[in-house]
Amino acid sequence: MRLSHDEIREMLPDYQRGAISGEMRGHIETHIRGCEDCRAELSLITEMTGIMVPDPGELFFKTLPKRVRTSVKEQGVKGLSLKALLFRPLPATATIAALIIITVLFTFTKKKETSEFDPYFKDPFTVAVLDYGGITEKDIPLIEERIPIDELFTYHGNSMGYSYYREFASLRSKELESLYEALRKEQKTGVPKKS
Amino acid sequence: MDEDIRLIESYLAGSEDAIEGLVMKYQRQIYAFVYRMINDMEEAKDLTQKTFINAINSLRGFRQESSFKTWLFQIAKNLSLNHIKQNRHEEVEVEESLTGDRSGALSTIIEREIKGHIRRGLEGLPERQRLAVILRVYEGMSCSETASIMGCSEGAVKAHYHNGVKRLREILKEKGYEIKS
Repeated sequence: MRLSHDEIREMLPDYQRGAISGEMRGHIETHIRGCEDCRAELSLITEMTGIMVPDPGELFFKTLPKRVRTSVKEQGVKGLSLKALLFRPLPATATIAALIIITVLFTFTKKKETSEFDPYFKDPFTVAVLDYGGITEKDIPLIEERIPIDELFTYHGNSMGYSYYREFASLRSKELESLYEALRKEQKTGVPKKS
Repeated sequence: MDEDIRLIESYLAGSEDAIEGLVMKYQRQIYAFVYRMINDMEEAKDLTQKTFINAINSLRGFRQESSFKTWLFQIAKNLSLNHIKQNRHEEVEVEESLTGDRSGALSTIIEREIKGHIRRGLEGLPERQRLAVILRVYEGMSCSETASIMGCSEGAVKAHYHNGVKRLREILKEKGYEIKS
């Protein structure tokens, strides 16, 4: 077996530690005898391994296993409420499911509330289905007769932007149907009476 | 290695005694490695304990893609590097008091000075070079184990190691010490 200079240099820490034996050790020794660079590197490694770390004391090593065990146990108890309950597989699935249900409920509840109280709200489903094409400005006086009118309201909107158009737009289909039914009963649909 | 797996499985099965077995087996090695990385005994003791606590707490996530020892050293390395980064601004050059104890034979004094220069030289190496030298020379890790701990290729480990050793030799040469066999 023939080893290159670089390959032998790679093995010097292992050689110095005595981790290489047999034929391989013989090859390395032969190379080192003729290679000043490897000899110098081996000497440096030998010097380095002679540098000891300060001893922290036997007490440290004797008590460390127990301290680690206690800390792990304490952290395990602390972590049980959050980590174990939220992030372990089964609770995590339950948590995600609960979050989805809460989100869905919140979304639907919020939508309902908004459509009832926000005059600017346009329910995309209702707006898309309803056909306001049949209602013209001529129809408005008919309704005017039945509905108490706030004088601040105008056909085209007051300073706050309120108007009958918006008022109509905010009505639900059932409300419009009821309104239409009431008008029909009183025969106030179609062309207004001429006075 | 088989003993490590047995201890890990035993711990995962509920035996807390296994924790102590794992700590006892590697505590000296981890302490020495951390100390060589950060050069502070009290901090090294602290980080050694943290290394084991983190390792045991993450044991369920240990996939056995590398040995437990390599994995443990990865945790110790990360903690040490974080510590170095956090304390970089506080680093103060502590000049070893070599003149304080000049008793003994001349050869002993020179020996001590060389070791002092090597230690300071090692401290001054870039992190990756220092890691490669410490793991290869002091911890007896192979290139592949070192690569796994450092999270790089074996080629990169070889390059970092050789640059580190070369730099140490240069430092000693600059100080007037020529290391010869």
